[in-house]
Amino acid sequence: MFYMDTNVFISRYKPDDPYHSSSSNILNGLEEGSLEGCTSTLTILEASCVASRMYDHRIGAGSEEAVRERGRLISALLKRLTKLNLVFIQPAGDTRFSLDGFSVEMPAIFNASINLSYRLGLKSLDSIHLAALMYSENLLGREVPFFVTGDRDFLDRRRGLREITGCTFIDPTEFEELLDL
Amino acid sequence: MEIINVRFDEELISRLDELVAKGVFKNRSQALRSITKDFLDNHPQLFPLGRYERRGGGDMGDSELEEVCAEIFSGPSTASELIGEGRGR
Repeated sequence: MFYMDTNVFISRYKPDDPYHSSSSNILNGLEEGSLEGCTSTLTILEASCVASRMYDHRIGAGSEEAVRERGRLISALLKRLTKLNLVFIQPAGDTRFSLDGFSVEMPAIFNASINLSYRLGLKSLDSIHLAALMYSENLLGREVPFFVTGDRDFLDRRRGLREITGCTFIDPTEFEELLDL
Repeated sequence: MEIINVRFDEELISRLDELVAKGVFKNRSQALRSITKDFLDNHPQLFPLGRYERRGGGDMGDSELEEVCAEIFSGPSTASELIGEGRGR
């Protein structure tokens, strides 16, 4: 079981990406069921938004037909993502955030992300992925020893992240080699 | 076309009939089809996934998906950097 960052999925569909080959092998394993992974539900949103954004940027969405084609693309991409052997981590329900007399209900994942912000200087969406990772072992009842990502921000801080999460941050090529895919 | 049975209260039917009498619609059936279509077309948020397939756009096969993705994602930015843009980097 490993945690898959969104960029691994997108790399599979970007032939000129440095991790394309290794990401493709990892996704093949997830398609065939020889690998088991997990990721945040945020990955569905990120995959959808990057496809939408890049479609507009490269092709444009000025016409009704282009809007329709962009929708087909997003649907196709998300279908491939959701058919992988992945568990989508989404802690259920709200939890209470309280501070100095102030109190508000918020999604549990936000609360966990705020707690992480006390220990790590991360962007909010990075923090949501890490919070999902930290929830994953409890929700799945299994160890999630690897966080696979091509993101330099994570990889350059892997030692500190490992101390906090207990997880090894590893790029797709290292993971491919480790598993001999 | 499929036929469906729907119950309406009298007030709604009266307003619908008024539009038919004015010639806005040819008959009740055409009125209901048109109003339903307008509503569905103008509320895309109700169909966040597969909306276009329902409109007849068709599924995208593997080879077409690979081709379109290669076109839109190609360039000097890595997949990680493209996702990073969405994460505020």
